[in-house]
Amino acid sequence: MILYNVAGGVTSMDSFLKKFFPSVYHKENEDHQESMYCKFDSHWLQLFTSSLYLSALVASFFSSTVTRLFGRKISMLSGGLVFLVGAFLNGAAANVAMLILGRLLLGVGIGFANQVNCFSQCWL
Amino acid sequence: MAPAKIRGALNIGFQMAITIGILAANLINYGTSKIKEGYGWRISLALAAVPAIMMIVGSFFLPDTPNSILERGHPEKAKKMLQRIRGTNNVEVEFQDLAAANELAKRVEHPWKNILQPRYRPQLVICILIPFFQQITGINVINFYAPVLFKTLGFGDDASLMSAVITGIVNVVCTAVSIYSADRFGRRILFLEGGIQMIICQVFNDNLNQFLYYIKTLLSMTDSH
Repeated sequence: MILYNVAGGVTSMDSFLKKFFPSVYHKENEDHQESMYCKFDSHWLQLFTSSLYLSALVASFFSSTVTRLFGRKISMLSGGLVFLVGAFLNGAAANVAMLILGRLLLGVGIGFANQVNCFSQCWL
Repeated sequence: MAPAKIRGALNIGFQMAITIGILAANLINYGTSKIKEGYGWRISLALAAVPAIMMIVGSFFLPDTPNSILERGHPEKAKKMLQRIRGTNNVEVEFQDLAAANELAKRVEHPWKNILQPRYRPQLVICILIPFFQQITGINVINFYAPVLFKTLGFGDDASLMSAVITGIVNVVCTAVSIYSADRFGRRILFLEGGIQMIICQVFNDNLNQFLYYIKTLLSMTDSH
């Protein structure tokens, strides 16, 4: 279920870097003798990967309340819907803003999903 | 309650789902990176819709637990759900149990204060330290950035994504081993063994660059002869 690992691999694809993070792409191809560190030095690129964890953290605080009030069925359904919108935004992304917004939504979805999962585990 | 005999294995089931997810992600990236037109990343990212749809569809089949219905204050509905799950109308005893447990849970005052009592100190300390040190090993960074990491070490595009796939396979196999052995040898043995293995790998990881440098120098020496 945890497919969010995909992004780590995507950021190593040249076509992706060229489109959204040209500075990283250029640095990577400029000079191969230079230090191998610091090539992925872009705040936006880091925000793209980390935004998911930020929103997941925030969402997990709310999801326990939602689950308590409405039950895990509603919680899982709404988490899934938000996740779906996030995946759509990411797949159709035309700019960095869409990438980050999509990933924020994925994070909200994960926040809800994890909570539901913990809930069903407790029920075991 | 899960039967005690397979409780350890069931706990690791969640971990298994994560490792399979990571492996699937690495495999998908390996496949989509081969698309010449360069829109592979779109497929990779959009495939997150698959788990989303599974969650949405799954939520329609997921029954609310009698426990949570009870918690939200609908005892009649909770009883009906319990009858449905158990497939019999004769659930009075179990239902009374649930209701009593629910009452009890409501009456626990200051659950946060309890865990701070001196007699729960060992549990509290271990509860904080184990996940803390697990995170601080940086395994998530290594997993997440595996393709980027291998690329920085000088691997090509293809080789880095393939290396990430190999990491994913090792991960799944090891989780399968722990599911098999958790209830046979006990979780304590697994925990200790895992710790020792982690120390060794951590030392190796931190000096990876150094090792690679030595290997390169060795290779270039043999080349020049």
